[in-house]
Amino acid sequence: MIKITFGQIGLKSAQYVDFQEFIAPIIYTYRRESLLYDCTHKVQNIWAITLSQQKNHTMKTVTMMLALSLWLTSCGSNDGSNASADSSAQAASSESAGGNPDYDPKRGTGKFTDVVISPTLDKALAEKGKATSDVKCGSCHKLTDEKLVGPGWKGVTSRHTPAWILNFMTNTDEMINKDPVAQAQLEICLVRMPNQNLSDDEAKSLYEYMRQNDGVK
Amino acid sequence: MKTNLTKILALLLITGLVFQSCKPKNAGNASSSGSAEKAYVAPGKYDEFYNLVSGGFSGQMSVYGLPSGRLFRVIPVFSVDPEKGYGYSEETKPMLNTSHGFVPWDDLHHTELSQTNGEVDGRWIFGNANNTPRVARIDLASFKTAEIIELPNSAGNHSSPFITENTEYVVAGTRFSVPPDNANGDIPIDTYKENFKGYISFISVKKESGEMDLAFQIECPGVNFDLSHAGKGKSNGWFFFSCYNTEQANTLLEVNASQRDKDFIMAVNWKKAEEYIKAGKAKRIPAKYAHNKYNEKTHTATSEMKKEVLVLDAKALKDICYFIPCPKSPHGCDVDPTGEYIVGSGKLAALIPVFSFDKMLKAIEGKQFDGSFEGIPVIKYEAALYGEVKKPGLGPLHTEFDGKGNAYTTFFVSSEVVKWNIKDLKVLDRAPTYYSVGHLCIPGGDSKKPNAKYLIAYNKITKDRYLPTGPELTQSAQLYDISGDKMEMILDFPTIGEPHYAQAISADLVRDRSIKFYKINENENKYVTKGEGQAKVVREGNVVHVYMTSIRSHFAPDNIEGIKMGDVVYFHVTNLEQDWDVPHGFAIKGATNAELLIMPGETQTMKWEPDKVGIFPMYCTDFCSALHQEMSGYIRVSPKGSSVPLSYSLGKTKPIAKN
Repeated sequence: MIKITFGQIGLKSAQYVDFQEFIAPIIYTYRRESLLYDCTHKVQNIWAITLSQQKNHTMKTVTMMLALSLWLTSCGSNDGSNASADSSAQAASSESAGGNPDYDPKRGTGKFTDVVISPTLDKALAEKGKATSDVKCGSCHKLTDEKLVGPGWKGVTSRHTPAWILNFMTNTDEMINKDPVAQAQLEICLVRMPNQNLSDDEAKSLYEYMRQNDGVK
Repeated sequence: MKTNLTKILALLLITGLVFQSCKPKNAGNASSSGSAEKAYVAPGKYDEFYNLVSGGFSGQMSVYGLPSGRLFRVIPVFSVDPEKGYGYSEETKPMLNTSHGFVPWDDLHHTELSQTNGEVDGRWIFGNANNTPRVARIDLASFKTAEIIELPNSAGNHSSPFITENTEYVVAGTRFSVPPDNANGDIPIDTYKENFKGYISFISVKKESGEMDLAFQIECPGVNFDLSHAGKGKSNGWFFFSCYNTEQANTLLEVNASQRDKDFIMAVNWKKAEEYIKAGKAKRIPAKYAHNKYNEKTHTATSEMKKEVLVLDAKALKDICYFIPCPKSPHGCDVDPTGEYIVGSGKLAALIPVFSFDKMLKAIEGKQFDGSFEGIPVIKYEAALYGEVKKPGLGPLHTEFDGKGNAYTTFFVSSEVVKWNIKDLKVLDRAPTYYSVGHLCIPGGDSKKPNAKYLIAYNKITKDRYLPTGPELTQSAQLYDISGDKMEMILDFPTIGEPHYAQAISADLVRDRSIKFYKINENENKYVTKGEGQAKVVREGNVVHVYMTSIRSHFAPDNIEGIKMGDVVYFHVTNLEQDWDVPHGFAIKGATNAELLIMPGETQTMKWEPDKVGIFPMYCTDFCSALHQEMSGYIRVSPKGSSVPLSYSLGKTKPIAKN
C-alpha cells in the first residue's frame, strides 16, 4: 500500500480518504467499456492507495481521471496478451449476438443446422429420452408449463425450432452467452442451465421425448 | 486555480511513483530486475510445469504451477481433510485404515512420479508415510489418492517411494530398525544389535492399473535407512540406499550415530532377488498390513488386511546386498541420468563422493572387499569411488541432474545450491538459498531425461523472508532459472507443511488427461441416486438411508421428518451435475465429522447421529449458482418413540416413506 500524505501534495487537510470512493466508479465505467480489460489485475494497486483529501470534490475526480488515464497509458501496452482467457463468464460479458445480422436466432449456435423431423413419433427414441431426462434434466424441468428452476417443457417444441433446442442442449454455454432468447430466459431463471454433457444421441432422444410431451403421436 | 494546477502536477508526479510500483521489485537478494518477468504467468495463462510437492507433517501433497509458484490444489493423502470430506465420508474412511486401526495423520516426505523407460510419464505419483509406514499412489487423472499400502516389519518409512525405471517397483526402507513384527518385541531396547532388523520393501506396480502389491522384503542388518534411488540404464536392476547409524546406537543418536568416519550406501541387486524368489529362496512370514484402494466407479474405498509377506535374508543369500562405505552419515543417494554415477551426500561431510557403477561391479567381481558388516560384504571405498568433489560446501544433502553432465547439490549448513560437473568434479556455480535448503527438484531431475529449465530449492528455515505470522512462519521454496550457465533466483513462494522432496513435470504430460467429471451413468456406488425420481428415505430399524441428489440449486429431498433420537442417518448425496468445476457441498448443523464435497457425477456419504430434538438445517457449502444461498433444507428430529412418520419432500410433493 502506498500512502501519500497531504504534505507531499501541498494540502492542509489531514483527513484521509479511501481512493476507492473516487476511483471505483471510474474504473467500473472503464471496465464496462472493456477499455480497462487488459489492466484489471493491476487495478488493485490503485485500489489500495489512500490520498489526503482535497477540498473540491469535482477537482478530485478530474485529478483522478488524469492520473488514471496516464496510468492506463503506462500499463496498457505490455498487458495486451492477457485478454485471451476464455472463461464463460468473460465470454458472457463480451458481445451478444443480438446485434449481429449473420446470427440466425431461429437456429441458435452449435453443430445442428437443418434438422429434419418425422411427422410421427419414434416411441422407442422418446423412451430413451425419458430415461436421460430422469437422470440429467428432471431436477429442474417439469413436463407441464410450470417453471421450476428452468422453464417447464410443455410447448417447448412449438416455441423453438428443433435445431435451436438441440443446439441449446449440446452447446449450452455458448448459447447462453450469445443467443438473445437464451439470455432473456437467463434473466428470468437466473441459474445458467448446466452443461450436462449430453451426447448428440441423448439430445435427439430428449427432443423426441419433448415432442411426445407436446402430443406428437 | 494556480494551487489547483500545482496539485494536479503533484498528483501526476505521485502517479508516476505509482507506475514505478507497478513494476515488480524485491524479487530476491540475488535477482536482477528481469527475474520477476521470468516467473510471471499472466492472468488466465497456464503454467509450464506442475510441481508436486510433499506436504511434510501435513501428511498431504500439494500441486503448484511453475514458474509462477501458484498453489492449485492440496491432495489429501495420509491426513484427513475436512474441507474435502477425506477421511470423514463413509466412502473415504477405509483409505486411512492400518494394522493399528484408523490413523488420521502422517508425515509425507517424498514424492516420485511414475516412469516409463526412465522418463516421467505423468500417470501417477507416489508418496511415503514416514510415521506409520505406508506408500500411496495418487492418480494424476483425478488428482486423488487411489491406493495406500502399509509396510510390515518397518518403522519410519523414509527411503521411499523411489521407483525403478519402468515403475516395476516402488521401494521403502525402514528408517528405524525394529524387531520384526512376528518376533517378540517385548525386549530391552539396548539389545538393538542382536534383535533389531532393517527391512527394505519392494512394492510391485501393475503396468496398466497401477495397483500395488508388497512383492517382497529383504531383511538387512539393523541400521537406519535414509534415502534411495534406483539404478537406470546400465545400472537398471540395482537399487541404492543410503544408511546411517551403522554404530547401531539406540540412544542419543545425535552423538552415538555419528562416531564412525564412514557409514554405507547399500547396493541391492533386485534382479538377483527376483531370481531367488523364483528359486523358492524366500520365506512366507506372517504379517499384518492394510491395503486400501479407492474405486473410481463405486466412488468408494475398500481396506483389505493382508496376512503374510515374502522375505529374503540378505545375510544368508550373500549376493543381493553390498555395502559401499560413504563418509559421515550419508543422506541423499542419487543416480545420474546415465546410471553410471552414484552420488552420496554425507550430511556431516565437507566433500561429495561420487561412485562408479562400473567400478562397483568390477570390485564385486574381483572381491575387493574390506571385510563385512553383519554378514554383508563391504566393498573397498576406493574400489567403487569415481572421485570426490572437494570443498563443495558444508552439509551436502541432495543432488539432482540437468542431463547435460552437471549435478546440483544442496547444502544445508552453508545454505546454498552448488552446480558441479560430474566428469571433472569441478564446482561451476553456487547460489545462496534463504535459508537452510533441504531437498531440491529439477523437472525429471532424478530420471534418465531431465527437463532442466528450472530448479526449485525447498528450504527448512524462512526466518525473515515473509511477513511474520507469530511463532510459526510459512514454509517456503525458491525457484531458480538454470537454463544458462549461472543459476538465477527468480521467485520465492510459500508452501504447505514442510516441503521435503518434490517432483516437477511438463504440464503437457498431465493436463489433457485430467478428468472433468464422473459420468453419472457409470456411477456404481451402492447408494447412488440416478435422478430425482429415485430420491428417497428408507428406514431399516434405527438406521436411516437418505438417497439424495444435488443439482444447481437444490437438494432432493430437502425436507425430511420422522428422524428420531437414537437414529443413525446416512446421507448418500449424488451430484447430478455433468459439467466441469461444479462440485456441491453438503453440511448439517452440529455434525461432528465434516462436510461432504461431491464432484459432478459422484456419490458421497455422511454419517449423522442427531444429538438433540429439533430442526436441523443443511446446506450446500460450495458456491454453485446465483441461487446457491437457496440450496438448503431442513431435517426434523423427534424424540425416541415419537409417532411422527418418516416423510420426505421437495417442493409440493410429500409422499410417505416406505418403512
